[in-house]
Amino acid sequence: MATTVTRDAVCPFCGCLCDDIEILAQDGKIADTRHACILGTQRFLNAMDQNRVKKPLIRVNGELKETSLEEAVQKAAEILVKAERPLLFGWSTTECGAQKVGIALAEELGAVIDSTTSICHGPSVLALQEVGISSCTLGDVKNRADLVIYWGCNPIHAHPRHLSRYTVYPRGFFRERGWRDRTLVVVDARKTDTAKLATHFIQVKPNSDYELISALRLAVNGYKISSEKVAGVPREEIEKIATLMKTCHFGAIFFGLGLTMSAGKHRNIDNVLSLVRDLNSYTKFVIIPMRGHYNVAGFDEVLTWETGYPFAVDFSRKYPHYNPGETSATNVLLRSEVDAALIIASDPTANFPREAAEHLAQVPVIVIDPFRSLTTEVASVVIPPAIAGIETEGTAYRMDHVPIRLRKVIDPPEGCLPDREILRMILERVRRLKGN
Amino acid sequence: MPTCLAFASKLLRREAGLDECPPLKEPTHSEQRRNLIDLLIPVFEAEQTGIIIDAKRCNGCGNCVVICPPNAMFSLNSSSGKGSNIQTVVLMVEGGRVKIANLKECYRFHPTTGGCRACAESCPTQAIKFV
Repeated sequence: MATTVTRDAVCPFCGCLCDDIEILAQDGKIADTRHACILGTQRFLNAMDQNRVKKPLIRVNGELKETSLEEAVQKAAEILVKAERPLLFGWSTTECGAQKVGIALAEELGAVIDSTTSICHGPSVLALQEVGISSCTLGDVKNRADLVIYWGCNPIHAHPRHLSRYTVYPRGFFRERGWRDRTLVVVDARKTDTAKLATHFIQVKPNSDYELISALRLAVNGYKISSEKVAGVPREEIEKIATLMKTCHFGAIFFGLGLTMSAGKHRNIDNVLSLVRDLNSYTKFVIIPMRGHYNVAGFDEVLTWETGYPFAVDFSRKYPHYNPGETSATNVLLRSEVDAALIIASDPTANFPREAAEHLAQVPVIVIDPFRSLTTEVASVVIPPAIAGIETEGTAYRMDHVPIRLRKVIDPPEGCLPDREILRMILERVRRLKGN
Repeated sequence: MPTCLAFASKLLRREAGLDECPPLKEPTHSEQRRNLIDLLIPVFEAEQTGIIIDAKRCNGCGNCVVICPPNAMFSLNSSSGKGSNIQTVVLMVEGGRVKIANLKECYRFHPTTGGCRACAESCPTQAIKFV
């Protein structure tokens, strides 16, 4: 059997986008991985999973039947052209080329286009538009940071290689002794596996992060905290962490959904960004959101350079209109406005609020996804693409907004085209149907 | 005549077997012998350095690979957080789980660094243990 080894492949799973993976393939199938974590390994090994859709499907008399790509694209275009308020959602696990064509399609249709940002780090984006962000690349953190703080996130389970590749354990240019030169602080409502590794673990009372950040800002700016405890944390401990922050050479805060989706939402992020701004009066401090999907940051980038806004953009007025809470996917679904949807690289039926998912199940849905999911079960048309980063090339943005070129490792199943090609075909067909 | 503590240490180092303890062969100590066999099962699962890797618990985070001093010495990639491009490193992540690639370079074989437990201490899921 012919074994091939692809070096420096990029893992298309989480926002770490590890680009040092070795893939061992036998007879065109992925047999094993080196250096990838358990999540990345499963992503590669499941490429030929039994849940893989290999042929386009179309719903006939309530059942999904195999069809040709030509017919599936025609049906998809007809559904979208007929719709008055189409929604184009997903985008976080595909590459930037597909996202760009998707935005052109949304503009052509006058559709609402939104990504998973609106249900994860949307509050972070809102806050950084208000306050601004002091940030850097993960390479800077590796080479310079002597204080690393994880707030409301558990990278050991969500981004397993984050600590070993970028933050705590690697030896950096100015941190030659690796973890010995760094201090790890974890702030969380519970003692997670990441917290077990921490030098200091701060257990904050659930939904009280805003109070703790405010107390830290008081201590950093030299004010006295009058309460004995804030958010369940003793005053002395808060003062100790504030001193640690002010006296470090280079501090980095990484925050996750524990901060963005707990009480306070974007106000929590507003406050923590302000804390970082305050700290920069004393030392160098940066903050980076822990983005989940491997190219969710990429969609923010592409949509921003195309429209000026990072997510939840409505083209129904013939120009991009951005108002999260009104134009985000869940909101247009909850108001039952959507009359057709194109879902790509996402499974909203499994993740959206029940009422939103119920409405999605009632309208014609086109799904572009390599695997069967709850959303394909309610779809009218399913078009399987080649998997970006495994079966086709593309560009993705890491959580620190560094673009990385994805590599092709194996050939896709026969007839499976990249997302961008499928979307281009739908766009052309839509233009033809509209007479443009 | 060695003391019981010295004999226990030899048992853990796998330099002696239970059969070398005459009192344990007596019928009156059969229950203690059974208990000892149960207790010593992990010792026989361990590698020469006493390391036991529970692959089911490992999520391939690679903390152990990067922190391991011989890994850092042999591979600049490993030292700086990337996957090692050479096979002489002690630990390596394969198939999403850590594996021993080259145990003979482990610091625990050296008299001055024999107490190294860096990999176990950096493991957040307790997948690495020492007997």
